[in-house]
This record gives sequence, C-alpha cells and structure tokens, in this order.
Amino acid sequence: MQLTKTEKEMLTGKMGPAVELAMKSIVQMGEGLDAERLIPTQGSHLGNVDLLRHCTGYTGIVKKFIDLGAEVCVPTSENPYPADPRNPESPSIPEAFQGPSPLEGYYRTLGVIPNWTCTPYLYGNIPRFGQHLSWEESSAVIYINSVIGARANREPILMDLVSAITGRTVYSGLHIDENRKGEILCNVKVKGLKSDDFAAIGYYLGKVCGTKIPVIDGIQKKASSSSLKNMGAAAASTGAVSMYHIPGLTPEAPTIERAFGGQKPVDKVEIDDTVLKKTKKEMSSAEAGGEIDIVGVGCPHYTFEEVASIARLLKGKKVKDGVQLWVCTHNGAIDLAKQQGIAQIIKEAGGRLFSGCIYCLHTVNPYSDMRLMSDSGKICYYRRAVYGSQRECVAAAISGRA
Amino acid sequence: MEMRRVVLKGRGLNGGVAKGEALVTKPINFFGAYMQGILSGKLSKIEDTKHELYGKSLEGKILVFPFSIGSLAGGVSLLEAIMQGVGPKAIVNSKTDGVLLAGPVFARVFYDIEVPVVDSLDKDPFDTIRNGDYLTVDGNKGTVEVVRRG
Repeated sequence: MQLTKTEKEMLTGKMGPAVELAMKSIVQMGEGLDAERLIPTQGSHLGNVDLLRHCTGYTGIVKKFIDLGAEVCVPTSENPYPADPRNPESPSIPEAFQGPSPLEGYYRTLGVIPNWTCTPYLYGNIPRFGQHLSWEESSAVIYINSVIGARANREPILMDLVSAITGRTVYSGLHIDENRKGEILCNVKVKGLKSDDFAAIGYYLGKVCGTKIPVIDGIQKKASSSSLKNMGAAAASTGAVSMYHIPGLTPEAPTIERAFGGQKPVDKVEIDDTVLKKTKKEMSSAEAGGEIDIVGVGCPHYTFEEVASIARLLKGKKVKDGVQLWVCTHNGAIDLAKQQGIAQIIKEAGGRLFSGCIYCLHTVNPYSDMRLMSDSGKICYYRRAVYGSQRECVAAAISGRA
Repeated sequence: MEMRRVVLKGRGLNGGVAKGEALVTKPINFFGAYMQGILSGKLSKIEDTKHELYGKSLEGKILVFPFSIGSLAGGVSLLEAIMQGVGPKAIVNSKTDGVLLAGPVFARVFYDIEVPVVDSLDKDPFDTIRNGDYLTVDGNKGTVEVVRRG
C-alpha cells in the first residue's frame, strides 16, 4: 500500500506513540483489504459504545490511547446512551447500563463531542458535501452519503476510533467516485404517498438491493429530511445499503442518467400500493391488535419536526396507564421543544421525551420482554415489534392496543 | 489409516500460523452471536438461536465460513471472544470484509494475539474442507493445509 510522507512519519512515531499505534492498525487493515492507499478524513462518529462498556478488549484499547496521550484530530461525535440519567423523563436505566461507563470519561479526554445522538448530521457534527468521513452508525452513513454527498463507508467499530486519532481511513468503497454510481432503478408508484410511508419503502429496498445503490424515482414531492432519514435507516437494516440517489433531489443525481453515471441499471424494481401494504404487514413481527407495553418512536432520533408533529397528535390526550411512550431525539431538539412548550405537551400526555436509544434499551431486561410498537423500520427489523405510522403509534399509546 | 493432504493457496489478511480442527459453517453476525455476553462482559458459546452453531463454542477451532454479516460491532465482538479465549484460532473465508478483519487485526496490534485470516482460496473451501479436518492456516503466506484422516 502506498503511504504519503506524512503517513510514513505517523507510522514511525514522529507524531507520538498514540498516532503511531492508531496508524499501525489502519495500515494493517488497509493491507489486509488490498487498498491502494489511505484517504485523509475530516470527521468521525463513534457507534453504540455503551453496549461495549463491559468489553475488556474495547475498553482496553481506548484506555491505552488515553495513557499514550491521544486526542481526536477531526470533529468526532458519539451515539446516544440507552437512557439519559440527567433527564428525569428518561426511562429507568436497566441494570446492564447502570453506573458511569469508564468510556465516557475517556471520550471527554480524547475530545469527543458529547452530542449523544445517532443523527449527528443534524446536531453537533454536521458534514459538508464531498468530505471524506469515518463514521459508524449505518443509518447516519446512508444519510450523509445520499442526502449530503459526503463520503463514508459503514466503518467498523474500532476503525472509527483510530481514524479519529489519525485523520485517515482506508481508501475503498464509497470514498471512490466509481463506486458511488446508481445500480438499481426503483420506481415508486404509490397513490397518495405519505411521508410516513418512507420507512416501509426503505425496508423493502434493503431487502431487494442488498449492498447495491438504488436510484429512487417518484418520491421527490414527499421526501422531507425526516422521511429520508427514516427510509435510509430501514434500508441499512434489512440490507447493507449505504447510499441511494433521488433524481433532482440528492446532490450527486441531478438527473436519472447522471445518477447511473452513464451506465444502465443492472436491475429494476417497482414499489406500488400492493408492495407497500405487504411490506408494512411484514414489518410487524409481533401480532397487531393485542395489548402493548411500550410505544417507542425516534429510531433514528426524531428530527425537531417529528417531535412537533407527535406533540400535535398528543395535545390534550393521555397515554394509557401502564403504557410507556418513548420519544427519542437529540438534545438540540429537546431544548427547542422546551422553549416552545412542545415538551410540556408531551409530558402532560404522559410521554417521555429524552435523548436515548430504543434499540439499546429494548435489548435488555426489564424492557426486552415487553410488547413494543414503533414507527421505525430499523426497530421493526431488529426487535419483535408491531409497526405503525406515527399517528397509529400515538393512537396505540392512548388505547393500549396496537 | 489413509490420509489425504491438500494445500490451498489464497490471500493472507492477518499474519501468524495456527493449527487445529476445522469448523465449517454459514455466514455469522458476531455481534448477534455474542450479544448477551457482550452486555454482561462474559462470552462463551454462540447465543444466536437462528444460527446452526447455537450453543456451540468456537474455542480452539479453525472457523471456515463464507463471510460475516450484520452489525458493525462484529469485529469488536470477535475481538472480545479472542481476548476471553473462546474465539477461533484462525479464520478461513471466501471473502473477508473490514468489519470481521478488525477483530484479528486489533488483537494483534494491541494484545499481541495472533489469529491468522486467509481468504480468496484457489479452490472452494466448502468443497474441500469438512468438519473435523485438521488445518494449518498460514496468514503470512496465505495458505491452508487440509489433512483428512480415514
């Protein structure tokens, strides 16, 4: 693998022992993957680290970097914690995540931005077009590649960390022009398409695209930032989709032809009302119609618009006794919601507005056995849950039945 | 007793030499395989009820499988299994990706533990290697020696 003069100096310890060790890891990864070279990065995002607080392998590596005086050299953010102990509205913290994680102190020492969100592109670590990044969190990676036009692969945990310390990652995959072209044409022909339908569209696309890049036509009019976030998160869960194009909307696809980079699609798929209906049914792995314990929305974190929208539905209503309503978002949206009285509406209705992670909470006792409903395609793929739109989720929280 | 010996040539992705019994299986999501162990800090057997290796341990085995799937925490989960001595001694894949490779590479760089990884062999490993075959994996040369008794 070709290294620049600076990279060779990093590898031989000229920039200190922490950078040397981080560089050694990246070079071994690059050589193992047959990369021709590395690429300078302008940012990192660290994944679901609280799940790893008991892992000596991971915590030992972070501690080693701290002992060697490491600091991040590019803007680096981190995913949410399962619950937020500083927020009284947060659900109680499961035993597995109780007490301070040693990692949190390490991250402050490294200089990681404490934005605690899976949507760092909305709060705390906002990428620009064309930037090369080393980001974990598949739902964020697909958003920044597609909607912003930044360049990132689904970075393995550990690589995100060493990239943050060196400002380098392996030059492969979506860092390379050639690999960003559309491959599958997807025509969406749904009558009365709603922004709520995007999670289901993504859920279906992930299954049919696998690792390929879809060019999605027919959704332009309803494609808000919130719906694109929800579509991408679902596609990155049911498949390993890391990028999509929407002609006339996303920055690397001014036209359908440009989205395919002058090549013909290798495949075509169509999403009509029948496909959408069938997909929504499939998203419910638990039986609809029965009682539920938790309605969890905001995976990935709700945008401020989504928080405002659920508050409109909740105004003057009351969540059924014994049912929990979790509304997860980033702390920026929580601050805005507080200023505008929106947080109060959610609280009075009996909902919990907090910066947390439904996916993590629902992994462990006491929540893992509870009956869950969500509007998230990602949650519905990873957890036993009933799927419903935001409106259906609110109705279920009030009635106690999915 | 009859003994057959074949040497397969491929690509070494992580160095070192390891010998042991082959355990041939389907694609693995290592985070899913060890999730409760990851949360509690103590890993042992494969916990993924949907996987054919459910309830089995990888300890001391040479794991032969096509590729890894799923979570980006796969490599860090594999690292933890290696650290706790319940992981495979070596890995043979059809095609290795970065998520999987992170486990063995970080085990080497940070903990001096060698788990050789070889992929892209000149013969299909699933035609050539069976459960229980005795393998010698050389991650430096990128070779897998297969010895079958009986």
